[in-house]
Amino acid sequence: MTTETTVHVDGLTVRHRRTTALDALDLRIGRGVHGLLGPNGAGKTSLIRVLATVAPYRSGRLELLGVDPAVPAGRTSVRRRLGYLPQEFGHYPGFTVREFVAYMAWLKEVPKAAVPEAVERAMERVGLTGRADARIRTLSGGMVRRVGIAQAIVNDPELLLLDEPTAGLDPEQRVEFRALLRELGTTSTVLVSTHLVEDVATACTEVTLLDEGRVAFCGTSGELAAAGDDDAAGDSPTERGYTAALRRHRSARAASPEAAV
Amino acid sequence: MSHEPPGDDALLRAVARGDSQALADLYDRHSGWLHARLTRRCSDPETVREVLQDTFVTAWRSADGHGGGAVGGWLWVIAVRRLADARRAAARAGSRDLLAARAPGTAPSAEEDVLAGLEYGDVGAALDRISPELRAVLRATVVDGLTTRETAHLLGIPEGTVKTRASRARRELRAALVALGPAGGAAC
Amino acid sequence: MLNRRPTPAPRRAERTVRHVPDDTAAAYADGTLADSAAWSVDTHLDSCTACAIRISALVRTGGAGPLLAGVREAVLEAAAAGPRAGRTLPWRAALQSARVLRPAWVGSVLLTLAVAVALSRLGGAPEGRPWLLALAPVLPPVGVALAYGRYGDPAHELAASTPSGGLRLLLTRTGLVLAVCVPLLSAAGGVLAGAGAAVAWLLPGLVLTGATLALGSWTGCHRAAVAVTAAWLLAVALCGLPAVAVPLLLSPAAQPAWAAAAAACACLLILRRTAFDHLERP
Repeated sequence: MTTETTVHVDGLTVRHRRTTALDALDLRIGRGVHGLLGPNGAGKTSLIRVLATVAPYRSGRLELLGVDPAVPAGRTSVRRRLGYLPQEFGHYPGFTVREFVAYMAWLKEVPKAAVPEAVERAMERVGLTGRADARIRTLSGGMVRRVGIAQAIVNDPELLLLDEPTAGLDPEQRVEFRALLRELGTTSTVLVSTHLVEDVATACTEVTLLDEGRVAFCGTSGELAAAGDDDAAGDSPTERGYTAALRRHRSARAASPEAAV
Repeated sequence: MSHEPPGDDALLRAVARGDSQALADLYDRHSGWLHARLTRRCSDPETVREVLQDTFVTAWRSADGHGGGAVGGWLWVIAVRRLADARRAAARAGSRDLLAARAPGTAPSAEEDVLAGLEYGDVGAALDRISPELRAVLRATVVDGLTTRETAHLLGIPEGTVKTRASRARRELRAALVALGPAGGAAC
Repeated sequence: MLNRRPTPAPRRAERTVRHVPDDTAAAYADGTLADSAAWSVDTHLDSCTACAIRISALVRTGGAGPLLAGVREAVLEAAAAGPRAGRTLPWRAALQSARVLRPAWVGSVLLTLAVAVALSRLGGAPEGRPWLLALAPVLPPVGVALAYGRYGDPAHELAASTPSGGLRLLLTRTGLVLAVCVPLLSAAGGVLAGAGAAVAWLLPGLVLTGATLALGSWTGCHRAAVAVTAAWLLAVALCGLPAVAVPLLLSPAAQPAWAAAAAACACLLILRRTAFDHLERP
C-alpha cells in the first residue's frame, strides 16, 4: 500500500504568551495510526489543536489532505473531512447521545439525508447503540469519552485527531478502542496523542516523540522499541525506547542547541 | 410482473413509527435481492449475512432519515457502506482471505445473457473484456454510486489506486469498444 | 463520454418500465448472471420495487433461503430489543443546542421586563415605556454573546473545528435569540406603552445585534457585546435620562438612520464572514 503524505508540517511555531509550545516543527504523516508521545508540556495538544484548525500559529506552513487550511476555501474543505476529539471534551449534558452526534454531523455538513445512518454507524462503532437515547449526563466517564469518539468519526473523516482519547477508558474499553483505531487507520490518517506508551506499542504503526516543542524521535513503533538500551528506564521495550530516545535528544540539544532538530 | 405493489414509502414510514410488521414486510421485499447483490461483491457468506442483518437493523433505526427517494437504492447504499466497513474491519484483523475474495464473482459470460439483460448493447461486451479489478472499480463508482473514498474502503485499496484504476478502466473500455467495431460507436 | 455511458441504463429502465426478464431474474438470483448484465439489474433494482419483490422471492426459494430466514429472525429480534428509529433531524439538534446553552439569558429578558414594569409602577405609567425601550435593544446582543463562543458554548472547541462552526452557527444562534427576544419584548412594549412602543425598539435592537456580530469578528462576541451595550447606555445617558433620550433615539425621524446602520452592519458582516472560522480569542 503506497502511503501518500496527508499531513505536511513545515517550520511550525506556536507560542503561548512567553512560552514556545512548538519550535519550528517539521512533520510528515501518511495514512495509518500515528502516535504522538511526549512528556507533559511537550506540545502534543498544541500540535493537535493547530492541525484541527482551531488554534492559530505564529509561523510555518501547513498542508492538510492536500490543501492549505490558511485559505478559507481550503479550511472549509479540510474541516468537512476532519474528526477531532479535544482533551477537554465540551458537550451538552442534557443532550442524548444521538442528538449530540447528529448535531456534530450538522456542523460537519454531512448531507442531510445521510445523517441518521451516519449517526447510527458512529454510535455502533464505539459500542453506544444501546445508549443512543440516554442523556449524556447519565453516562459514565468512559462512555462520555466514547461519545466524543463517535462525534469525531461521524463524518467518516480522512484525518482524525484524537487528544488523549484513552483517558478515562477502562482496560477492556482501551483494548476495543485500539482495535477501532487500527481499523480506522487502514483508510484514514489517525493522529493520537497519548501518555500511555502501551497505546503506541499496540495500536500505532508510527510514532512521533515530542519534547519541548521539537521532534525527539520519529519512526515506526518497532524502531522506537529498538531504540531502547538496557540501562534505559522502563518496563517494556517501548518504554525503554521512549526514555532512551528522549535522553539522546536532550543530550544532543544540550551539546549543540542549534544543530538539534 | 405488471402488478404495482403497495408503496415502499408507506412501508418505510410505518417502520419509522416503530411498526415491526412493516419491518418484516420490508425485509421480505428487499432482503433477497440485497443478498444476491452483496454475494456478487463478497464471497464470504458470513460477512454477507452480517451485512444484511446490519442493513435492516440500521434501516429500522434510521428510517426517519429516508429522504423520499427510491427505497431499494436507499437500502443498497446502507448495505454497501456496511460491506465497506466490514472490509475495513477485516483489513484491520489481517484476514487477507476476505480481501483476496474482492474480485467480483466471475460467472461464465453467456452471450445471450449479455444481450438479453443489457440495454446498452456492445458496452456490455466491452465491459466483459476488461480486467476484473478494473470492473470492480467501475461497478463501485458507477453502479453502486460510491465516492472514491468509499470505493477504497469497499475494495480495500488506497484512494490513489481507485483513481488510477478508474481512469485505466475508462481507457480500456474505450479500447474494447473500438476493438468491437463500429457497432460500439453506433450505441452512443 | 465513456464514463457517462452506463448512466442511460437506469433512466431508460424508468422511462419505458422494462422490467427484468424472467430468465435474467433467475440467473441474477442464483448468481450466474454475467457481470455486465448484472449491472443493469443492479441499477434497475435501485428504483423498481416490483422486480425487487420478484427477485427476492426467487432468492428465498433458492439456496440462500435458510440464511435469509435466520437473518429475518435476528433482525426482528434486534428491532424488538434495541432502540427504534429516533429523532435524528440535524437541524433540530442544532436548535436544541441553543436551548440548553444559557437559560440564563432568557431569564435576563424576563428580568428586564419585570424591572421595566416595576419602574413604571413606581414612577407612574408613563415612565415604563422609556425604561423598557432603553434596555430592550441591548438584550439581543447580550443573548448572542451568551449563546455563542468560548464563554457561552461548552462545545465551542468542537464547533470551531467544523465547517459550520463559524458564521453559520453564529447566525443560527442569533436567529434563535431574536426568536425569543422579539415576541417577548414586543408584547411587553405593547402592554406597557401601546402599539408604537412594541416595534420602536426593534430596529435599534437589530442594529446593536448586527454591530455586536460585526465587531465580534475582530474581538470575539462577548467583548463586542460588552462594548456595544456600554456604548448604547452611554448614548442614552449623554442625551439625558431615558425619559429624554429614548424619544430622541427612537423617534420616527431616527428610524431611517437606524435602517442605514443595520444595512451597514450587514455589509460589514459579509465582508468579515471568514473571520469567525477561527476560535474566538480568549
